[in-house]
Amino acid sequence: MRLLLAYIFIIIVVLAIFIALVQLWRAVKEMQNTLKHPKTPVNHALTPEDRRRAHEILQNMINKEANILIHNLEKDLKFVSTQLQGTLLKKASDNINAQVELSKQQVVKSTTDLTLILEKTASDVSAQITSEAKKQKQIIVEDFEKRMVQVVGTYIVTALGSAAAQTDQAVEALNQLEAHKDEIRKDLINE
Amino acid sequence: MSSDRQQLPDVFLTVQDVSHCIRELAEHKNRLYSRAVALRVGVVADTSEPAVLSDAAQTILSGTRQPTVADVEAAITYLEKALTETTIVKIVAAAPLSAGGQRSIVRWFRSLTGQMVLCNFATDNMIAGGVVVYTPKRVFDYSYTTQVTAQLSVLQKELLHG
Repeated sequence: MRLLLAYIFIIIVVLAIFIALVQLWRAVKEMQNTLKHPKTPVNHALTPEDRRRAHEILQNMINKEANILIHNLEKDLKFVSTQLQGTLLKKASDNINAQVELSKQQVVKSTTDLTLILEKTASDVSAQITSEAKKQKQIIVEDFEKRMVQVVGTYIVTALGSAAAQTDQAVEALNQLEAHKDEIRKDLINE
Repeated sequence: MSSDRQQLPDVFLTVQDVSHCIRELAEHKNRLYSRAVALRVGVVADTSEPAVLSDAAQTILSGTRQPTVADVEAAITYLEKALTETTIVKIVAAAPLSAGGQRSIVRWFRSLTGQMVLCNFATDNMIAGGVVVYTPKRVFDYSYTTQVTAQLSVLQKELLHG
């Protein structure tokens, strides 16, 4: 009996050891499997409801963060756009102003040049007209003088007529020479 | 005839007088020369009338009773030299001057300057009266025409501006 009990005891111990070994083998296998395919204890432990709720929470968080991010992005984009628009507008405005200033300078220069040309042309034309008028006047005066000399000379000669020939010109010549003898003597003696 | 500056007798009044005398003396020299040659070679003597020299030529040859070719050549040289050294004045009058008038004017110039002066006389009726004197350097215009036209500016003013 005692032997039977011993046998039974031994069988029970062996069985217990066997069961323990099986449990150990399963634990090792599970550990190996976990290492190969890790599973969070939470997930592992989560129920579909938990997963749904967790997904929902996570979705909400993501949406919220996304909204904030989008908002910030929009804000930054707006700021950048505003800045860019301002910069572009300023640059365009500067370019336009520069072009306008350049055009204005060119117009002023062209106007000044044109004014100078006009003034010079006017001055030249005026001088030319004045010169031409002087020439014409001089020609008219000279013609007048020539005509007058001819007229007066002819008149005198005609008026005197033969009287000049009949008059003793030597007397008249001597009178004229005597009246101017000083300058004649000066000229001849200094010769 | 041997002074430094040649003096001409008063008989020479104009350049034409001197030029004419030089030509006359040159002809006379040729005649004398021809006669001397004919005499030298024994050709028939020249029977033509002896040449009658002008007063001017006779004056310049005075002192030589029978002038030889050399005398005449010396006289010509003298006159040519005198012509280059003498002051020549051109006188223009409105009408020809009488010989006496010309003589008076030449004497007037000679007494004025104390030098030998020869005159060239010319006429130009356009000067109307008075005289125009051309000296070697200047022109002295004392003609009526010039005197009248010198006042032409006054006449112009009167005519143009009333």
